[in-house]
Amino acid sequence: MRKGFKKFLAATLTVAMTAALLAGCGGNSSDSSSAKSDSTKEGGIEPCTITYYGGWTGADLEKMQALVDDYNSSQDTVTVEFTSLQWSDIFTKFLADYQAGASPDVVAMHTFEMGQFVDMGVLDADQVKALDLSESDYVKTAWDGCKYEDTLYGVPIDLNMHALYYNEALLDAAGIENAPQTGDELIDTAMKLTVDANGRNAAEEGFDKNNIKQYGFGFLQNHHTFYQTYAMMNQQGYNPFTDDMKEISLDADKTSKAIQFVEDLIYKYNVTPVGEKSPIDDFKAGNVAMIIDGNWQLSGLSDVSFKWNTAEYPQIFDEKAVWGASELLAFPASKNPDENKQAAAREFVKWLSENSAQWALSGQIPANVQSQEDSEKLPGIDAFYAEMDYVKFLPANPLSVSLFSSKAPSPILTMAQDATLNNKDAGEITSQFEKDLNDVMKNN
Amino acid sequence: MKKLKGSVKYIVTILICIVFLFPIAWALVCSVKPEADITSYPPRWIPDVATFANYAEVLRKYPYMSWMKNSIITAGAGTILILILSSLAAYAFARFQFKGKKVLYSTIVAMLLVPIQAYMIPLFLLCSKMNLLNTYAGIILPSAANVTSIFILTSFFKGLPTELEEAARIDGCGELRIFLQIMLPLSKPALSTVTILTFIANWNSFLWPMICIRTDNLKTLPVGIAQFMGSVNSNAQFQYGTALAGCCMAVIPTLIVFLALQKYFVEGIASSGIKG
Amino acid sequence: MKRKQGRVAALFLLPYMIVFTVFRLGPSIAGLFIGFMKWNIAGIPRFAGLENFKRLFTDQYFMISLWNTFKFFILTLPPLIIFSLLLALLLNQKMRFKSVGRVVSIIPFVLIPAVVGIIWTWMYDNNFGILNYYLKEMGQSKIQWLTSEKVALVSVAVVVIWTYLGYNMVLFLAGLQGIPHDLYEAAEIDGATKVQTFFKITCPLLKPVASMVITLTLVNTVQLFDQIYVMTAGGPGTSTLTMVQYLYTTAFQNYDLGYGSAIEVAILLILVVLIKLQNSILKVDEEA
Repeated sequence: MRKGFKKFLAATLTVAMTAALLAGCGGNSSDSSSAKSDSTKEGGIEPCTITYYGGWTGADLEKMQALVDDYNSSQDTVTVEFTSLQWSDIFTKFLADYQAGASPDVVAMHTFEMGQFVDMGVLDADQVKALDLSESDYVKTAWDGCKYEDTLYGVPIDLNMHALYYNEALLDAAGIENAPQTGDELIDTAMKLTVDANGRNAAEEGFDKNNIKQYGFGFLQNHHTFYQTYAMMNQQGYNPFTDDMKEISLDADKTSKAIQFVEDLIYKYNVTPVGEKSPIDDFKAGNVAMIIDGNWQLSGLSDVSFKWNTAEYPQIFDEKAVWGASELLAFPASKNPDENKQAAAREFVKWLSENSAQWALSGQIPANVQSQEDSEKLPGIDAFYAEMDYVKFLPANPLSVSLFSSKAPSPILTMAQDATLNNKDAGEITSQFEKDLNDVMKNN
Repeated sequence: MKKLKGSVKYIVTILICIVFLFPIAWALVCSVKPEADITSYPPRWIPDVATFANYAEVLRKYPYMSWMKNSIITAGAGTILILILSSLAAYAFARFQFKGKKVLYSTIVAMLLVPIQAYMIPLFLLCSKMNLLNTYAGIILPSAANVTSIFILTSFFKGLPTELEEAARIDGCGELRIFLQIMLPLSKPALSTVTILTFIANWNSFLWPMICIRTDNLKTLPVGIAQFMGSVNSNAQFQYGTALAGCCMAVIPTLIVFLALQKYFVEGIASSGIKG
Repeated sequence: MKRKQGRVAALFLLPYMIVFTVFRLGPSIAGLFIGFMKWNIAGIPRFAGLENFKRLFTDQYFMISLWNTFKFFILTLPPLIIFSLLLALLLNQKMRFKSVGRVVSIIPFVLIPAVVGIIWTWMYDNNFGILNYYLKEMGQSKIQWLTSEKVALVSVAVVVIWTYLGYNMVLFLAGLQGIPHDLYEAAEIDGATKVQTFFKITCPLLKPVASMVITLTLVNTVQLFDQIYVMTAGGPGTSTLTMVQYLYTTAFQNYDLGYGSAIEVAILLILVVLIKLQNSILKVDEEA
C-alpha cells in the first residue's frame, strides 16, 4: 500500500512537472488564428475591443484615461481597454503577454526603451508604415527618436525635457532681474539666494554653511543628475552614446568637467542641499529659489503662493543643449495577428496623436505639431518650447535601459551618487563610469 | 514591588503601541490634510483644516469599491481554500507515518525558498495554456499552493498530544472523524493564526495579480492602488494625499479579519481542550 | 495499523499536492532550470549551459548584493527573534489592554508593503521629514536616512523590523498558548522561580515554534523585496542592493531571465545553508 501510494504520487508529480516545464520554458503554439481576412473595406472596421498598455500613474494617468474615454465615447466601433501601471511592470506584462500569444494592441514607451524592444523583435514597424505619417507633422527630435536603424517604429506623442524653474519673488527681493543664462550667472545668482540662519548669503563673509535656511539651487540627485551631465557633455559638443555602440571610451576631460560642475554646486559653492529628495516640493515650499526639473511638474504649480517662472536650461559650456525624452506609441508584433484589431489600433493611435492637445494640460508638449498649436499653453511652458531645437535624447540602443537605468545597479546611478553624495574626484568617477558602462555592454 | 512591576508592564506596552502606531497615525493625520499642507514644513500633527477630500477623490476617480470587492473575493476564497487543503495535508505530515514523508515535506518546505519573482513567468505561461489568465480562479488557485500554512500547521499538529487520538482509534473512529471532531477543535489558535496570515498575504499580493489580470473589472486592490500611487521615485508629481487616503482605506478589511479572530488567542482554547 | 496509514495519508494529502505541484512546484523548477538558458521572456530560450552560473563569480554587482544581503540579515534577524519573543511573553500575561497591544503590533504587517515603503520614505525625508525634524528639535544634526550609503541599509532594516515584529509575536504567542497551563501550575507548586520556569519549561516546549519562527524570518528577510523597491530600489549607489533586488532588475528590467535564475539559485543555496545551520544550532529534528 505504501509502495502504491509512493508510485502514484511520483507519477503525478512527474507528469505535472513535465507539463509545467514545457509550458514554462517553451514558446506558445498559437491557437486557431482569429484573424479576419481582408474582407474589411477601406476604413471599415468591425466592432472590436483593443487593449492599450501605458506606464503612467497619478495625474498623468488621469489625463490619458480621459483621452481614452473621449475616444471610446466618440464612436461605437472600437472600444479601447486601457491598462496602466508603472513602466517596468507594464513592460513585463507586455512581454509575457507576447510570449503567451496575447499581445496588447498598442503599447506606450519612451524613446530610449524602444531599441531594446526592436532588438527583441516584439514591435511591428509595418503598422507604423501603414499609417503613412508625414514627418513635417511632428517635432523633428521626437520623430528621429522613434527611429531605429532608419525605420520608424512608433508614433511620438510628446516631449519632455529639463528647464530652470525660479522663484521670481525671491529673485526680485535679492535684486536680481533676470534668471541666469550661463554657468557663471547660475553660480552667482544661486550664491546670492543661498541664505543662512543669520541672513548672510553664500557670497558674503562669515557665511555659515552648516546652518542654511534657504538654498539657491536644487535638482534631483538620482539618475536625473546624469541627465544634466549628459546635457553638459553635449554643451561641449560631445556625445559619445550611439544607437549601436558595443563599447565606449569617454573623453575624460569633457566628462569630468561636466561632473565637476555639478559637484561644485553642492560642495564648493554650497548652493544645493545634499541628498535632495524632492526639489519640486522644496521649491513649492519656498525653501529653494531655483530648481532644474521637467515640464511634467508644471500642472502641479497652479496653486503656488508666490510668483514663479521658467527659463531655458543654463548654457554652462560652449553650446546649448538640454536633456529630453519622448513618449511614443508602438504596435506590438503578435503571434496571432488579427487584422481587424490592428486596423482598429492604427485608427486609435492616429486619433490620439492628432487629439493630444488635451494631453498638454498635464504639462506635456505634444509631438504632433497641430496638437501643439491647438493646446492650451500652461503657464511656464514657454521656456520648454524655446528649448525644442536643442533637446538631446539618449540613444535607442538595445542596452539603453540597462546602461541608463534609473534603478540600481546602474552605471549612471553610481556616477550620479558618487558625485552628489560622495563628492568623489571627478576623474575617478569618469573612469569608473566608463568601466561600468563597458561591463554592462560586455555582459549582454 | 508588585505594583512597580505592574506599571512597568503598562509603560512598556504603551511605548510599544507608540512605536508601532506612529507612522500609521502620521499617515492618517496627513490623509485628512489638503495636499498643499501635507508637504509643508514644519510638520504639524493637528491640521489647520481637516478634510475628507482625499478620500472622496479616491472614491470618485477610481473604481475603488470594485478593487475592494475583487480583493475580498480572491483573498477570502484563497484563504478558505488554503485552510482546507493545508490542514488536511499538514495533519497527514504531522500525525501519519508513511514512506516518502520526509522527502515530500522537505520538497514542499523547500519551495518557501523560491519567491514569486523566480517562478512568475513559467506560472504565467502555464496559466495561459490552462485558460486561467484574467479569471478569479487564475488568481486564487496559485495562491492556494501556500507553503507557510503547511509549515505552521504541521508544527502545531505535531505538538498535540496523542492520548486522545489513540483513545478514539481504540473506540473505532476513522481517521477523518478523529481529524474533524477531535484535532481540529483543539487547533483553533493555529488555524486562526494561519487564517490571519494567509488572508493578509493574499490581500497584499501584487506581482501575480498584476501579471495575471488584463481587464479593469478584475483588478485587486494592490494593483489598483499601484496605478494611482505611482512611485515616489518617478518623475510625475506624487500626490501624497490620495495615496495615503487610499492606503488607509485598504487596510480596513484585513484589520477586521484580525480583530475577529484574535479573540481565540485570548481565550487560550488549547489548554482547555486537554483538561476536558 | 501503521500499514493503513499510507492510503489515508494519500487522501489527506492529495488535494493540496495537486494544487501545489501544478501551481508551485512545477513552475518553480521550471524557473530554476531557466538558469541554464538565455531568455528575454519574449523570444525563444537558448541553451546556455553554465554560462549564467559562471558569471556570478565575476560579477561585481552580484558580490555587492551578496554582501548587502548578509549585512541586512544580520541587522534584522536578532531583533526580530528576540524582541518578538519578549513581546509575546509580555502580552501573554495577565493585564488589561492586552488585546490592544496584540492588535496594534500586527498592524504594520497588515499594510501593503509598498504603502509601508512610501510612508517611511517620507518620514525619512532629509529636509522635511518628521524624524529629522524631531532630531533638530533635540539639537542633533540631520541624518541622511535614505540618501547616505552608510545609513540607508540600516534605515531599511528598521522598517523591516517594524513590519515583521508583530507577525513573529503572533506565532510565538500561539506557541505559548499551546503550552498547557497545568505544567506552569505544577512548577509553581514545586516552588520554581519565573526565570527557572522560563528556561526549563517554556524554552524547550517552544523550540519547535522558535525554529519555525527563525526559519520564516530568515526566508522573509532574505527574500524581502517590496519595501526596499519602493524606498530605495537598491540605492543609494548600490548600498541597499540585496540579491532579490538584483534578481528583479536583471529579470524584469534587463530581461535577462537566465541570469536572474542563476541569482535565484544562489539565494536558494544560501537559505538552505542558513536554515541547516539554524537547525543544528537549535538541535531541532526537522523530520516531519
